[in-house]
Amino acid sequence: MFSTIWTFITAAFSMVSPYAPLITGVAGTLFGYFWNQYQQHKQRQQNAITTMAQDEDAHASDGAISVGDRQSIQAQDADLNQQLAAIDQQAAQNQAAQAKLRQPALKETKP
Amino acid sequence: MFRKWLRALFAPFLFAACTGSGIALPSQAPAPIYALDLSGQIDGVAWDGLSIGSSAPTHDITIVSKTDVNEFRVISCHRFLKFEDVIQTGWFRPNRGYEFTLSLAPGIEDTGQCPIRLQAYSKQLDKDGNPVGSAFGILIFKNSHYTLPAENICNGADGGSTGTSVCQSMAGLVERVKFSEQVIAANPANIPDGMPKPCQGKFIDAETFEYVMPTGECAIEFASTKAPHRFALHFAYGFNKIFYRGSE
Repeated sequence: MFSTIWTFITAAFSMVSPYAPLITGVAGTLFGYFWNQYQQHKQRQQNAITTMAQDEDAHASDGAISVGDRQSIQAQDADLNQQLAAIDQQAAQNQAAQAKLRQPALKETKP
Repeated sequence: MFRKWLRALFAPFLFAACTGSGIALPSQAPAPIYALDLSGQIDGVAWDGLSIGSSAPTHDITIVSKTDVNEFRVISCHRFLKFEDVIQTGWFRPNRGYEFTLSLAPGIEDTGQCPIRLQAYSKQLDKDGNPVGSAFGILIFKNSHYTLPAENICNGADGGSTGTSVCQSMAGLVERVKFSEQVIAANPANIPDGMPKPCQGKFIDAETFEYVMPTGECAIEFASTKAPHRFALHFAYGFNKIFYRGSE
């Protein structure tokens, strides 16, 4: 389609100027070059849009990850509190046992 | 007779279809985990990639992206915010940045347990005509529940922290958190299934925890054994890929 139109323009132009083949040739080459550049740019732009969409997809679950982090930290907090309660209880028992050991033995007194 | 003949003819095809043995699924490589490289300021203090904010209820946050940004998102464990058309154009483009004020939701976002994710999406091209890619960051805010000081030995740096610490490095590397007194860590076996497990590591002595940086993120909580018990939270992020931002 495009080449037909271009051939028609060249033929029409050659009626008015002897340099028509040269001028249309240069114009055609330039047009072809810029058209190719435009198509390449369009393709690159499309690639960038696709990349952005892929990035979005890869991070679509970020909210869920934050929620998971929060739940995990809360569970860790509860676990630590349990471990600490056991440590404190053990420490209290040890302290009581130490205190008992330190008490002086009762001496038997004769009446 | 004809039915039997048909059954005999199609039976092998049906069997193959049901077992699925004839279908080879293409193996998919795991998605790359990019380094967090958004940066900016939070309440006037510089932050970079993965950082800590104060325990204040409201924060003035400036985001500076190394790339032009078309859409900026903030995601926490509680909210989703989206800002469109944040791209800055002009001759000099001094900042590819965005400023906003974040008021943490009481009881949900201000507990020190809710990382805020910052996402800067871009559909721009660099000067070589390649997609610039998007940029990401994570902020975690302090809370009065976490007060135990630590020495955060992370990615070649050695810095002090109070209560909350963060570390970003390449996945698979060894990092440490060192305390000035004996501590215990949450036991992974006691974390219910379905929840992210604490950072995988071990105590090399009573005060020093060493872990391998995961691909992605992990969090681990510590508590001092000496009463009154104090707590510390360490948040780690391991990447396996870095965006090349050199030609933008």
